[in-house]
Amino acid sequence: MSKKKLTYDSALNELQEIVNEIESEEIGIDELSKKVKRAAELLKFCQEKLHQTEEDVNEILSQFDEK
Amino acid sequence: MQKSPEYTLSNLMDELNLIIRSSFDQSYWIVAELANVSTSPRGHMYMELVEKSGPQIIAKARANLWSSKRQQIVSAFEDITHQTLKTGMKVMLQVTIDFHSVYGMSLQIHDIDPAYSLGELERQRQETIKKLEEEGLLDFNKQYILDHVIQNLAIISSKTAAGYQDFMNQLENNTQGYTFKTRLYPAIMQGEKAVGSIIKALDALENSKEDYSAIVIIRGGGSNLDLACFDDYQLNVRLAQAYFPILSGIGHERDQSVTDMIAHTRLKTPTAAAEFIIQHNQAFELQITELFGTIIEFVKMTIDEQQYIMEQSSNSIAEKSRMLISKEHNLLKEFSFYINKSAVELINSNNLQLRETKADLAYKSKSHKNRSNFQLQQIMQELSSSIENFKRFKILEINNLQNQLLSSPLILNKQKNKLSYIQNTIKLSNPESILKKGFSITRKNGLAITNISKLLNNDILETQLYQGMIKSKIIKE
Repeated sequence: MSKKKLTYDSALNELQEIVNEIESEEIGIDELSKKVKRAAELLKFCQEKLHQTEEDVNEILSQFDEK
Repeated sequence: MQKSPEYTLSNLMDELNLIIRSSFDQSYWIVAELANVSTSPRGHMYMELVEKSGPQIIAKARANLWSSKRQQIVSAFEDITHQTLKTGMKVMLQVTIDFHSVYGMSLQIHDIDPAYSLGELERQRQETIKKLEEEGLLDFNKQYILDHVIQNLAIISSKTAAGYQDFMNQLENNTQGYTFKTRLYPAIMQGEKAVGSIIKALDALENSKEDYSAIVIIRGGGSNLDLACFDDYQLNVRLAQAYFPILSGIGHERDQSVTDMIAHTRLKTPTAAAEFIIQHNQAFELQITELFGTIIEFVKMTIDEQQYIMEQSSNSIAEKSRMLISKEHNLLKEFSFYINKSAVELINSNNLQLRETKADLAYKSKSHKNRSNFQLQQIMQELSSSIENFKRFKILEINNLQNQLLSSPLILNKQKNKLSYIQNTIKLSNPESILKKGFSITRKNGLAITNISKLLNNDILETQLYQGMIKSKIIKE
């Protein structure tokens, strides 16, 4: 993996690639666990980021409503 | 020569009065411009009537409007034209000529035609509009784009004017709770001094270096009279080119003034002007609220969408991975089954072969044994017959030898003869006997020479004779 900082978009792209690879059954069993592990990492990252974003948005919105 | 007076001044004036009265004994409709209009405490109106050719005055006369007629004439005029009689106004009036011995000639005003003034005013107004249009000033102020939020306002009005109060009340008591920063630039809003006063206020406003969202022009309200200043060319030239957009709240019933036309936005009343500003701001608030709503909606939608993608990805990966693994499992199971099956088959087939081989071997070894036995018997037979033969042959041979032995003395004789012959032969072959006969042996270094090719020049040769030796040397010829 590149050392670039993971962003939601890059994670999502990578995840999509893995999904595509797995769906097209291009992946061998040797690689499968590695890929699934990576996918799980990416999923976790994306979900956390998404969750964080949602919370941030809700907080901002609630601040807005208080006004 | 001394002259005698023909008239006294009063006689002459009386005469003149008589002639004027008889010659101009009716009333006349004339057109003139008013100048120096004034009203006496007793209600009489005094003025001058002038006619100009360009800037040049080419005729001038005093005129009076007596209080007895003034009320009726002036109110009819004001009702129709919404104008007061004032200096600079061009009017059509009905006059009679009056002559007074002390005050001289003057014109008595009997009627003023409002229709003419109205037409004249309209003509002037149209002229002003046309000029402004030609100069590109009619829509000049409209090019400003109003601030999204109008908050800092310059107001040109009169502090005591009802319209100004209306405007401020409406603005400050808005239900939205908007706050405004306003500054009044006071000006006279009607009458002859209005134009100069408004222009002065505008100068002050623009010199203040304040950044206003708009200039609101608010007239006093009340009377519909004396709106002519807002048709003034100079004022509108100046207003049109103001640094800020102009909102007009002049407030009158009749057709819009020229100021309304050049204004960025024309409002019918001061209250309407305030309402416009509030609504303008409200529209902006609504717009940003809507935009914010759109953003929120978009954000929520995006999050939902992403969550869906996550779920899909996660499901897809899980499902597919399990599928892949189970597929491989099945494949392995299949392999294992085939391996089992093949192994069993292989073993079975080997067993069978083995059995066959065993059977074959048993059969083959048996037949081989039989055959060997047979061969052995044969060989034994052959052997015994050979032994028999050999025995017989040997017996025969022994018999022969016995026979030969019996005849051996004869053989001895024969051998004796043979030996003596050999003895003779040997005797003859001895070199001594050969040398005796005169033959010689030539040697080089002790070896007998049988061939000349072995000889070289100066070789020493020894020649052996039966008796004695000759030494010789080869000399090449």
